[in-house]
Amino acid sequence: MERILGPGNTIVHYLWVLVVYLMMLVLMRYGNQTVELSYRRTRAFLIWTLGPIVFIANWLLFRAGAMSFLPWLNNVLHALVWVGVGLTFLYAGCRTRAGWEQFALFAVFSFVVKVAEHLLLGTWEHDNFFGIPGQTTYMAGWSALDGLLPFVIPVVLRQVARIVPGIMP
Amino acid sequence: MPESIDRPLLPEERRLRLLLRILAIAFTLAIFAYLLPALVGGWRPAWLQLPFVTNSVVKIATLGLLAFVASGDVRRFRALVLILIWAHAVSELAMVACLIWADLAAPLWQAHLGMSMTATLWGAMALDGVILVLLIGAFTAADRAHYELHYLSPLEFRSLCALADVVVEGRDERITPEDIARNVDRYLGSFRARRKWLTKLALTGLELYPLLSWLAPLSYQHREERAAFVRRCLYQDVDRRLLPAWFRTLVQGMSRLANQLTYLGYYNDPRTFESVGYTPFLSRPDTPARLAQDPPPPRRPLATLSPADVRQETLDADVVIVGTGAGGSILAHELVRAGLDVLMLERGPHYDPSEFNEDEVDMLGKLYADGALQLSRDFRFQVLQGSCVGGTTVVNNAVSFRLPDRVLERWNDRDQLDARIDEREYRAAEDAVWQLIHVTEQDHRHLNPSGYPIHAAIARLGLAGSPNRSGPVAANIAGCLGCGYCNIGCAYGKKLSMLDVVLPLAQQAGRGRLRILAGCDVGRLEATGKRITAARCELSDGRTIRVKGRTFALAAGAVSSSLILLRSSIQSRRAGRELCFNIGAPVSGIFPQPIRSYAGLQISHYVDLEPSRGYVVESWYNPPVAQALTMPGWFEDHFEHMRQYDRIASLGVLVGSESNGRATTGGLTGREIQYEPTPGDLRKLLDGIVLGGRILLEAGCRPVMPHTFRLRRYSTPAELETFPASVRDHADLTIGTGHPQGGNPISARGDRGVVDPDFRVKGYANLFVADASLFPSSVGVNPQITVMSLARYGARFVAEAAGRAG
Repeated sequence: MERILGPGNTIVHYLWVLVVYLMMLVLMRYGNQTVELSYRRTRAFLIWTLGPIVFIANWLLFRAGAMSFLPWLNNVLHALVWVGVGLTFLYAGCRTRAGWEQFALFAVFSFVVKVAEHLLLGTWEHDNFFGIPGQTTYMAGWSALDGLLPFVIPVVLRQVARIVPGIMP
Repeated sequence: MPESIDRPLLPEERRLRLLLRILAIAFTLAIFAYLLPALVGGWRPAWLQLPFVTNSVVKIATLGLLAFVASGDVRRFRALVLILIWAHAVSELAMVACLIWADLAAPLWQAHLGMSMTATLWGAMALDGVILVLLIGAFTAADRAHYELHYLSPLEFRSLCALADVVVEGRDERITPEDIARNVDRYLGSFRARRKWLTKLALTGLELYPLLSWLAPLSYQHREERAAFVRRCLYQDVDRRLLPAWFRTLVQGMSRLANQLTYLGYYNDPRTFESVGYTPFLSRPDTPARLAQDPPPPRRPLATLSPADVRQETLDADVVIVGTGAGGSILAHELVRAGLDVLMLERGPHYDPSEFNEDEVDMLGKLYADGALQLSRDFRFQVLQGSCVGGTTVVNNAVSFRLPDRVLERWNDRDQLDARIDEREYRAAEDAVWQLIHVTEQDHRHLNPSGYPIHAAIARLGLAGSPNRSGPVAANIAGCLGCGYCNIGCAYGKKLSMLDVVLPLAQQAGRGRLRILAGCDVGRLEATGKRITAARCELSDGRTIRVKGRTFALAAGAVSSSLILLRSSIQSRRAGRELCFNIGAPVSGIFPQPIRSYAGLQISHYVDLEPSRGYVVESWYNPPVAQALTMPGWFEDHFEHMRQYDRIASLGVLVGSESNGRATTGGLTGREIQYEPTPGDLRKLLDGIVLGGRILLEAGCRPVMPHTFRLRRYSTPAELETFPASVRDHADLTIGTGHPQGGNPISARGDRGVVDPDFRVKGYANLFVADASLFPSSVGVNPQITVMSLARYGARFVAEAAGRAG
């Protein structure tokens, strides 16, 4: 059970994590209420691809020693719910903004969620980020990398749009 | 309250009487059930210690007596039934409170009767609950049957009766308050509308509003007390701003809606016509001669589909056009001539002009969106729009103005919205439309009779000469008979509306390529990426269908097109914003002699000052109901003004508003219009009203009356000049519009607008807009020609897209 929930964690801890995700979504909606109709298919594509990719990547990076272990339920929620639903909604709303704004939004939101998960579940516990020491550095580093997602996603989408109708970069 | 007590009891009333008799007997028996254990039997020692037995006996005996008396005449004593219902409802609440908070472990019951207090309470609650349900059911059924109601509940009906009793106030009232409420009930039951329930809310609120002043509900008050309450709380408190702003808005909205219903119920009744000096067209002595001289032209047939004709769940077309009004019809006309297969979807029904009649209220219910009850969020601004095949062109005044040069310049201003409309091509489209619908200057003998003295007054005031423009209006009307029914549909084929001319011509030219589905409300659009694939629609019979197409065009009007985009999450940050209007405010004057303004073209003359002062003034008059709805004055003042209906002339001041309105899918009905005039627009409106008043004074009217919340009358120009200072804000005025515009403005800029200069919704390959929602700003004059001309101008873009898609 420890491998699934993490040491000392219960379902109630995870419910609180979901509450944090929900609050982040509410904040995001202040900037953009809905996903534009023409972008819904693209967002659905992102939800079903980005989430699983992040889930697998988190495990592989743990195996590679770059990340701490995320208990399975934490990884599922973080990848499929937070990244899959939350960050794709954020991307759909801010993709036309300036690059630095997109970076800042992604990095800040990611950082808040990581800190919340760290405090609630005790995860994201690591003493360095690719050799740069510090627990906070670790979370900030991965958040900064998350901030690059808005630059990676359109590159991928441009390729996908060539073969899948209705996908927009 | 007047009651028809001489009719025999109806079956529902007899059932209520039976129930009351049973209850009377049951309550009587219950008295003994309470008293006997105290007198005889083994429970006597315990019972004698129960202090509430006395109270229970009193209560049950009173209820029994009420039931007994009420059963004697359920009509006369209906209030007693209400008291019975009230008593049982309170009893239920009291027992619930006891169950929650009381100490139910009292030993007395457990020791002597073998029952817990909790069980006893639950049992009593069940018994009272059954009685309560039976009473409410029987009472409501009896009331409904008694009043023969189609839409209103008995409470709402009685509230309206009570209001009508004091609002329609004066000598020589021709029909009873009950007749008024019955007329309203029939009207409300005659059409479907999303906002109709607001009338129920308003009437219920009105009935219960006196409770806040510790007075009986409106219909239970004595007439004098009720009249005083209505004067004080619905009129004076609002006028003097004694209520908090949010509450005043509610009260003003409630009273406006309820008053309008009352006037509608009274002045639409033919029994009142003589008293206001109104003669319907078909009863006028010169009508046969007019009809002989200008007989109605042969009808052009128009075939439409109704929901009953749609058997499949999916329909298909090259081009799907949402809306059959000015924009949609012209667009369809052009597209079928280009060889495309077009399907038009219309929310409203299809009525052939031969079905139009002189019954104003009947036609309002049939031809207008929300039965002409569409109001802005604060209930202070009425937005009239047609909702039938042909759209607003069926019910407008057909007044035609070309798009003013200054407006087109503003639209194309690169520093503003940068609409990039090609002026030469647009003007060519305008000329073509002008010819297609046969727009001509209406210089004939059946103009609005008040227009002639008004026109002469304009000349005497020196306003008629160049550079100002004035005179009879141009309109797409040929051989007008002067019936005065432009706004309720021309039954004589004289108004060359979309229904009469353009759609039949298009269908003829299309040879089967133009289909029109009436009673089809588009909810939202579906897309795959940038391409719209289908429209999800609800038919008026409740079924849902999908309409697929290669190209889609929204032409449902400024409000509806915006809402379709918003419901579809298309351009949701911008759609529905920048909504603007031609806001209109009337001013009326009373001539010393009958002038019969109603017996001619409704809008016949205008004056437009140059340089523009931001408004146009037009002569304007209506059949009695529409006139009564805006007639200034309350109670006996309103009644007296309506008695002078045939001596009154009105002018409408039309101001092109700023784009500060908004249509949203929120609110109570999912169709909300947010708007209040800016201070600048209000100033223009007041300036226009003063000018209109001066014209009426010069024409010989005494007094003139701007249509204001508190009645204000002016007899000299000097007095009239004080009017603007008396207006605190727009809540003091009666304002409305028939010309909503904007919402999806056209702009070449990436950061502004919803639609590109090729009429394509930004970000979508096959979605176009072709109605007044395109306007980057209000045009300030009657906009139908601009809507049609833009639709014709934009048709080539739609045709190109549809051709490519094909």
